[in-house]
Amino acid sequence: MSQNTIQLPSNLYDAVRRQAAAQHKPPDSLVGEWVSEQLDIVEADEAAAAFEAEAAAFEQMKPALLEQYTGQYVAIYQGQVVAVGDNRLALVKEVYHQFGEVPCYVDQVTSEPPRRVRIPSVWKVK
Amino acid sequence: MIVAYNTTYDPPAPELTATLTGVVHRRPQMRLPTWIDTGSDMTAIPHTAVHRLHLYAVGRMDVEGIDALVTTTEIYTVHLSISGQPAQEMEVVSTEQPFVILGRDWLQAYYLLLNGPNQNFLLSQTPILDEK
Repeated sequence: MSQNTIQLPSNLYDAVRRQAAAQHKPPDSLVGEWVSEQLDIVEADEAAAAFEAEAAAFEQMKPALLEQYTGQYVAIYQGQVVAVGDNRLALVKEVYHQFGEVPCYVDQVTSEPPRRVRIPSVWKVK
Repeated sequence: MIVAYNTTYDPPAPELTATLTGVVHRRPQMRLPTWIDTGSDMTAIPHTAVHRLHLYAVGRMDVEGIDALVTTTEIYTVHLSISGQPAQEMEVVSTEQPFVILGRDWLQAYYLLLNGPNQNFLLSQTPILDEK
């Protein structure tokens, strides 16, 4: 682990020390955990926003996609069709291999209503 | 393979343990209790696994739950392995439940024999009974 210095206002540092003592952890560890959690949240929010943008691009392009790719799956990344194929899973892997693990949107180009599945053992999907 | 029912449930339940990872990277991973659910069209994972495994949504799907209400939800892709069975890459949705729901999409490749009286079940990719 590399040694770095982050400056905190003294009242904030005192609060961190009190929390660390209460949790029987070194202040460095506690701050590390908090920062990591916050970065995960920020990253998840950014990924969700990027996914929404790709989904919106798919809907916007759908009339044109229907003319060219009806029945096929397309992968949308950065607002562009980057892969076309027969199934979602293969396209996701293709995108990940080509661009790294990035938010993308993969869907079948069809004028039919979206697929509906039943999972009657759960009250609520997330 | 023959697996004992989990007797901590009332009544005892056929339960497996699944290891989940992303489809590209095998770390991080999660081991989770897994319920066999022949009533589910599709496999579902806990939403906590989405965060822990840093999974990205890749699509959307309509899901009908126990209350017959339809919810549009995100689709994720995972690498799912059950001890002693070939691993599969799958499309899944997420739920608020703390366990994996192994649906018929996974079960399509298997023969399953529930033995309630002996409180175990047999899971196999080759026929268990004489099919005549």
